[in-house]
Amino acid sequence: MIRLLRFVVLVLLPWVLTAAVAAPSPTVLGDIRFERKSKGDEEFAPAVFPHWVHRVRYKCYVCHNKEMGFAFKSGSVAITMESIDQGKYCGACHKGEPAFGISFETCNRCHRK
Amino acid sequence: MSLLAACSTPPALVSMAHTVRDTVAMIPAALFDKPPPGQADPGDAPVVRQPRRVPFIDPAIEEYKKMLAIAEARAKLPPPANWTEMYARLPKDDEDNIDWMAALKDKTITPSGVIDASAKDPGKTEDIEVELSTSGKPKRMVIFSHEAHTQWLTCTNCHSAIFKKEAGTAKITMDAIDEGKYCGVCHDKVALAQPSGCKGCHKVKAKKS
Repeated sequence: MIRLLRFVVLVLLPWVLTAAVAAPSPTVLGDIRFERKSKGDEEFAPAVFPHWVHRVRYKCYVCHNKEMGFAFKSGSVAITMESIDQGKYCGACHKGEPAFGISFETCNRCHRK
Repeated sequence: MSLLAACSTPPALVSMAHTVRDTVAMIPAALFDKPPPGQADPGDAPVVRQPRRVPFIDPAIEEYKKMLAIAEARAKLPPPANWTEMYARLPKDDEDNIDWMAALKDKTITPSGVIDASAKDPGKTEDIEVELSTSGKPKRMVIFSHEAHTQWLTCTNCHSAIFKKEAGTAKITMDAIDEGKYCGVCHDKVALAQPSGCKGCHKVKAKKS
């Protein structure tokens, strides 16, 4: 009985708690999982674009315009990490300010399963 | 004896003098609207009267007050700590999808039109409503609201790549929308008309003519 209690307290409870706290953000209508077209690390998860997160802060035409180059079609632009580093596409915002920058600490904020 | 008689007042005169005194005491009450003797003077306290008719309550003002209360309550809330919390705050429809127009309306979100806050917002608004006659469901006409759409988009997003500016030039069908043309460029991909289902767009009953 004590063993069972200890199992519950030491193993199950932390597992349930971490699962509850670190719950992945829900899949929302408009979320885009980019297809990997360029050669890269096949083991590494392709990037996910949560449309709703961006809609909270910005209107559609902030990204969907000619200067930014995003058309109204997923997969129509070839986004590479190089182009982001040059400040194109995601890199227009994701450079530290206004949004988090690209670094080895932030890989899994976009590249997640 | 006659002197004594002259000095004492006759009873008739006394009662007359009393009457005069009482009458003079009544004068301020009559002149200055004072309560009759024996009743308490209310002083300067305002007189409370019942309303003569039931006051009119405007439902539009009441709804506005309710929204204002919600907005004020939200302003007191701390900003959401993370995106999960933000997601929980966004208003949802009956199918648990985010109701973006409601989020705009109740100011849960105030999306910006520019990345750099000092830059000029290139967005333009428009409030022309376009009536789209429907052949399949003649009773359920679609009224396209420019006002709702230009809160998110600007003219060049749709004109002229998706729709020409002249009304009636696009032959929009549900099949075309399902294939991702016309409304289907955004709708059912990132945008949902509310309420969900057909009635989101096909909400206007055509008048019998």
